[in-house]
Amino acid sequence: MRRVLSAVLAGLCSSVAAEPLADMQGAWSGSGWARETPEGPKEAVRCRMENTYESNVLTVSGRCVAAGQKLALAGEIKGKAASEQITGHWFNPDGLGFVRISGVRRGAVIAFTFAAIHPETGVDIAQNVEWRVGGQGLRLRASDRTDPRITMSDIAFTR
Amino acid sequence: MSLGIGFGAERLGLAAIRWPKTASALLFALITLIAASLPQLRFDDDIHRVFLTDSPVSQAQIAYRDAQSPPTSTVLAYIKADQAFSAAQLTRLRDVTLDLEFLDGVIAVASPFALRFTPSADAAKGTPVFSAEILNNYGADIAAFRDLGTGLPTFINEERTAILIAIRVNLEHAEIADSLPVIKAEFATLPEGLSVVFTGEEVISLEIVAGLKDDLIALNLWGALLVCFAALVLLRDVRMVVLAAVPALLGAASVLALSVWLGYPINVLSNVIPILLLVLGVADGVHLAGHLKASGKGARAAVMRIGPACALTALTTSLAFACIMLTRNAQLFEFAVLGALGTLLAFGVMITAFALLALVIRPSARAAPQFASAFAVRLAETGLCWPRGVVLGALALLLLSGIGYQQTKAWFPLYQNLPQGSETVHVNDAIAKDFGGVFQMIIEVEQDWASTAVLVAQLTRIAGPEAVLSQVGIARWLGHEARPSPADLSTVPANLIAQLSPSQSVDRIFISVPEPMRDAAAFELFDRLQNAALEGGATRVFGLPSVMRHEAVRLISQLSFSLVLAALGASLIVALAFGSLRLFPLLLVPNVLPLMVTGASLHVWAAGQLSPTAVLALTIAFGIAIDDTVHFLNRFYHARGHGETASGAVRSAAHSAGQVMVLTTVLLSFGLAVTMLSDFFPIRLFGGMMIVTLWAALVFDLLLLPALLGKRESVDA
Repeated sequence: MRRVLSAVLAGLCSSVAAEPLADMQGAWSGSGWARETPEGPKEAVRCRMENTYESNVLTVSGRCVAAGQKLALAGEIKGKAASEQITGHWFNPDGLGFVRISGVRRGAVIAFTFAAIHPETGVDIAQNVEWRVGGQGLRLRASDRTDPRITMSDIAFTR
Repeated sequence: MSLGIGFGAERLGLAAIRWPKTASALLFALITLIAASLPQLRFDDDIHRVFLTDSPVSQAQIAYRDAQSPPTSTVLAYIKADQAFSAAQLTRLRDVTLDLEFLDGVIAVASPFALRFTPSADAAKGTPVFSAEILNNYGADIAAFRDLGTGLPTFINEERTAILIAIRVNLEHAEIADSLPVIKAEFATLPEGLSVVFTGEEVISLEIVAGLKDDLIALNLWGALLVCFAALVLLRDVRMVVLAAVPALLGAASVLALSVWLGYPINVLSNVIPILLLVLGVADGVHLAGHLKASGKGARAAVMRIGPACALTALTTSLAFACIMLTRNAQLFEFAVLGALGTLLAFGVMITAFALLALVIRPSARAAPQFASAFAVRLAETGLCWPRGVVLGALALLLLSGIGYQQTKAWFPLYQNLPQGSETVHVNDAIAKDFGGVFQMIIEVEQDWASTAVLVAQLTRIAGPEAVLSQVGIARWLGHEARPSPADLSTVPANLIAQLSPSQSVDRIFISVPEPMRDAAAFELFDRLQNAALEGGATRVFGLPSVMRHEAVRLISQLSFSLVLAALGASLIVALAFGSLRLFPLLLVPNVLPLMVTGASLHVWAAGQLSPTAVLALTIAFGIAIDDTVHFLNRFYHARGHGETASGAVRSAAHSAGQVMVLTTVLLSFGLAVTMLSDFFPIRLFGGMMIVTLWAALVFDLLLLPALLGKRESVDA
């Protein structure tokens, strides 16, 4: 019996570890904070996403709101078969616009980077982004690429 | 063949008697149609329509609303705390405001959490006043924002015990009735110690309509039951009650169906028409059934003898309604059309139903109660014995009550249209105290920036801090004294800028104010703001407060004019119906006097406030008051036609018509007393004024008409 349970748990763990993109599908609600520029103030945000996964592609669709601001989110993250590499794009019509992303998936985590210039201030806001999925939670953290000690956003999602 | 005093309308009843099968089939078909129409009754949920006319203020308001694309409405959530908000409570409230933004149809949410300090290099949109992690010393940040001196609303009161959240919703996406429950659901799990109440223009409309629906059903049901019960107690004759009440009930129901056929929604005013026609129908029914019982000559004789007077009373009441059409107000016009046509339809239904019922039902031989007759005869004898004293006394009373009526003040508060015990009234007062008010006064200026800045400063001095929203305040927030450029304004929400600056040459100033007729202080505040705006170069001042302040007074003035017309017109019709223009002045005194007495009585029970409802009640009451006169004169001239002297004819009329007049006044009072159960003050006022008018009309008809008609005899002699 113990062996059976161990086998099931191992299977579950391996499935999470094998394909984090698949585990990120579904409806998610999140709250946390974000800032627009590395020097900018932290702002409370709440987000809602409806992700779908098909043929190794995670399609992200949702919205985030900060007080007095709404942001639409849309993106596509593709995983390559038998590879840790991921690529895709991110589209935020209210802010960054269209940006390409590239990174890796490893265990329960996907990590990618993107390069962007803030449309209003012209500040370089290239970021390292990490999505970590586990159980019923998903955590999104981003840091400044120039100075990774500066966290740009930290949002915890639940289903 | 002469048409008689009823202009031949009683022939409808005579035709029913002649062809009962055809009439029964037609009446049954009509009743079926009425029953099928009632489920389609609609209720008006637009409070603006109560006030809007074709005046410039109304036109500006209509143009402003039409220009809103998409049409929007603002729901206000007033959150109250037992003590100053804690950081944890505010964090939860901020989550609620953010979640509201996710709702479909929500365009924008304004709250303290949307406040930002002046934009800087690091924060292009400005640093939020409330940081991502709200700490218990948040008060210092709010104080720092206030120190910017922008005058912009902070949506949190000085004591930090109340917060206002303004949720702008797209009415194209969903009606307020559908979106409000969804918005309320977001506030379902507020932290302990917090309470929330919702208000706003459309929310208030919704509450009025919801109460109105309950009220309509309750009033008509209880009114009908009460009239039947009172009739049973007074007449002690079930068959007579059936003859008097059933036709009247059918007539009242036909008016509700008529509102469906005309496509007119029921509102706070037209709500009273069915019960009004019910009591009128019962009065006519008692007169008809009373004659049937007393004469024993059958249905045809009753319809021929009393029908013309009933027809004439329907005509005068219809005319009283029709006079209201002269007001240039859509809702009142509909009220007038519904009342005028409804009265005629109800009469047609009533006389037909009575005629058919009278063919198969005969009242019992038991005598009618004598107290009514004794009371009527005693009053008439007093009038006959002391004609000079009665007439002089009446004229003196007319003068005094006329002066009292003149002293009433035109007043139309919206809050009185909310159901009794409504939380909204209290929360509107609280919002007025903490945030200026629920309603938005809109001032448009087309002048240079410096003059606009001076005007905004002046308006802020009058309205209080944080009650004024203008582009001048936005400029100060941006750190400019001059007009900000479009680039400067790029960090401000575009829909806000579109509201504040609808075109290059026009600036708008929004001022949160209480309802202008909430009390004398609110009235004075509105007038001071409006005068300051006009003196400061404003091109237009509008918004719901302006409409409520000005259109109400205009409406009351127009209604008062309609009242005069109704009095003159109805008196003239009755005089013409009886074939004597000399009757005209004689009719005016006993019928205008009850109106003046009732109007003056507003000082006693309505703080001297003359609302549109009060003038409407007076107008309709005149129509009813003259009904008594018609029935009295009908019997008087009938007796005279049979060779009676004037005093003998007066005694005969007092005995026959007077008895029924007293009985019907008692019955009508019972029927109208049901309005006292209404949750709406205007309906209670309407019913109360009608009862006072009916009794005043009865007393003056039975005192003054004998005195005046008796004097005619002495003059003739």
